[in-house]
Amino acid sequence: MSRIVSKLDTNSDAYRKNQLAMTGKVEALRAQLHKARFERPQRDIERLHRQKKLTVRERLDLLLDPGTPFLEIGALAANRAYQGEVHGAGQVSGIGIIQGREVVIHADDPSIKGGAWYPLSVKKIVRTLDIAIENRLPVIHLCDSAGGFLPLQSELFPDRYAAGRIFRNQCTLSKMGVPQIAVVLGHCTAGGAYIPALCDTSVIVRGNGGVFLGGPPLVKAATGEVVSAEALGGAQMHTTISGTCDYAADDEPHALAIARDILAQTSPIAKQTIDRIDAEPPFYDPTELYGVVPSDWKTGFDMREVIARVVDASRFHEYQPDYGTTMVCGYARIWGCKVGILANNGVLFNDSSLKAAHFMRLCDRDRTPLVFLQNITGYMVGREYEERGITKDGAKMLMTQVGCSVPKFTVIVGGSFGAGNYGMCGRAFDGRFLWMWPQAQIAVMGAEQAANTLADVKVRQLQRNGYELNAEQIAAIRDPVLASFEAESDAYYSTSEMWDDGILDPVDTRNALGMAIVASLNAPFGEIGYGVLRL
Amino acid sequence: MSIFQFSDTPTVRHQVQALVGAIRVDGTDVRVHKTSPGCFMATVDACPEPLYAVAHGDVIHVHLKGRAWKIERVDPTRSTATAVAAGAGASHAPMPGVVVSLLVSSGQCVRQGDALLVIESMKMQMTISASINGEVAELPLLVGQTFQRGDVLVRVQAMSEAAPLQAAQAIPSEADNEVANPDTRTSARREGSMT
Repeated sequence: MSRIVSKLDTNSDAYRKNQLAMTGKVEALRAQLHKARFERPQRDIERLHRQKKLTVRERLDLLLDPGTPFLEIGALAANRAYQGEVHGAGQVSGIGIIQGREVVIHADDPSIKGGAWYPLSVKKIVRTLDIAIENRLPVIHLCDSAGGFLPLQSELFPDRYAAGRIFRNQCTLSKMGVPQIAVVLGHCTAGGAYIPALCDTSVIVRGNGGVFLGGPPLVKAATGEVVSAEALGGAQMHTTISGTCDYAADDEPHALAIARDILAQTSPIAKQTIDRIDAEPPFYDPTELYGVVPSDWKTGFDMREVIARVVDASRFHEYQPDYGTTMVCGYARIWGCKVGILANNGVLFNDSSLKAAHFMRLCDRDRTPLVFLQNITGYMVGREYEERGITKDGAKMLMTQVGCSVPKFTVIVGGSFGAGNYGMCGRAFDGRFLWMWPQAQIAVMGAEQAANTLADVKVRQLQRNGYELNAEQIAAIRDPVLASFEAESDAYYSTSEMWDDGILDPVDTRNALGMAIVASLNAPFGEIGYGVLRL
Repeated sequence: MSIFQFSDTPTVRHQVQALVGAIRVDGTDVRVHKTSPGCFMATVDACPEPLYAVAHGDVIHVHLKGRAWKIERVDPTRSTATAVAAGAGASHAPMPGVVVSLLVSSGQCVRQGDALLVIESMKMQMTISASINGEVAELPLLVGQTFQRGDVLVRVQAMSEAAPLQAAQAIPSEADNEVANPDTRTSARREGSMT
């Protein structure tokens, strides 16, 4: 395995232009993240402190091992929903380190609408617990929620992946033997009360913590009984009478210290063994990634330049270097872990699709995790390519990819369009993690193609009825479609809807992948087996 | 077996095989034994000579007979002795598409790696670059014109740098082309997707 020879000219005008554009995008991303994480109205912070509560970020600082990384999931969830007021969908999720062990954190954010669950909050919690299930990671729940956001209850309550799924996932984790600890820092009412009840162990803070199926107002309305929250489901009652909670804490730091100690009593998990050596930083400076990716997503670039700034020592053993060259495949190491990389260097043709499928099977056989670097506008269209069977060759990629039982990771570096998204392990294909770069684009087709297609259909429909449209009228059909497609194709929309696990600053790609790959090794890889390929 | 090259002559590759108490370089055995870390005793022209070597990544710095050498390990997957010649500078369309812009005009002199034209297909724009030094002999398409896979997009006629005018008519043999442009193969296979 040799070092990639970079052809990037860091003195060129193109490099500087790209670097300037990406720097702007990354600064905007940092500003958005800061807003979502820390910027709250002063009165909300004062209210928390009056209640003797910490902010969710202060809680994490006390819970996690100092100086260890926290891989946050969906930090900008809901940034385009609910008038942008529900930062991070009112939840903080991620993988952190406690007592040297990797754990998944699910924390309500009480500074946003009292920690109420919106439909996207539920989606985020379900995703967080899916990560725990797929990677067999213990979960710490920091509970402080007003309950479901009632005006939107129909969107968060009854469906398969709605709120019930949170509890179903908790039960599934328990059945798999994965520890869960709840820390009750505020009220857990109605469905939320099941979170501590379904955990192996729970800690509750005196005064603030409360667990009840129906809160005092509901009890009064239902039966006429008048009872205080503390008497109905406070720390004293649950730890001495009902046995619903296990430990009472005097305040939040005390509760978090107990949670850390409980976790230390669980047995560490033996990781799946893979080919792993000591890590080495990339030879090429990862900050040069800013200049690699063109500011216009339509402009192609060599994905080897990205690989060179992500993998250990910039070393890459390329598979089939001269065949199906629009698909770059090869072996590298990230954080010392051997991985198979599949990266787009153009449109997928028949040969590039076959190469990808073959390479995935090689990696799966050798138990080598797969990393997909997407910059794909789709599979090639046209008569010649249909005759050569582009559809069945694309299908081979999907069938093989789903058949692979090694963990898969996806980074959408540039475009992610149409079936190319599927073939390159898009969200629907059960990769362990999926991230986007700030300028990435994702849609079923390009905005211009969609607008032109729809305008064309409409024009022909009207022509059949004897109407002719002038250029202005066609633009009136085309422009709104173009605008809505563009607004819903960018990385912020994707991350708002949780189609991904977050937007990455390109220089963080290596560490995000490294942490995710190492975390994925907690779960055993499945058996090898594939569906039927149309040969 | 590994492949190495001297940094000052990167086009010449040497096959090196480690033996017990010796190394075989391009079929010739040289006796070498280690005396201490980084220090060796080599037998050169039947005389024992001290040799010092230190590895830094893929580069090995060697000191022998008062001279320093820099030797690089060559990735065997990226070194082919019989590279494919690039069809005397013709670039064929990798797929159907449309011409977005022309960056040069017919008759212009260009250097290897210069951007010649930009094409678009399947929403992706690609820059077609010169695979050899020479003169733009053929530029058959106009901006906005469509083309089919395999159509010639541009043809660069090779010329020697020393005598550009006389050599413009001469078509070099494949071997000449290869020596003059050791990177021809790489640029040919990447030009379709790189800027």
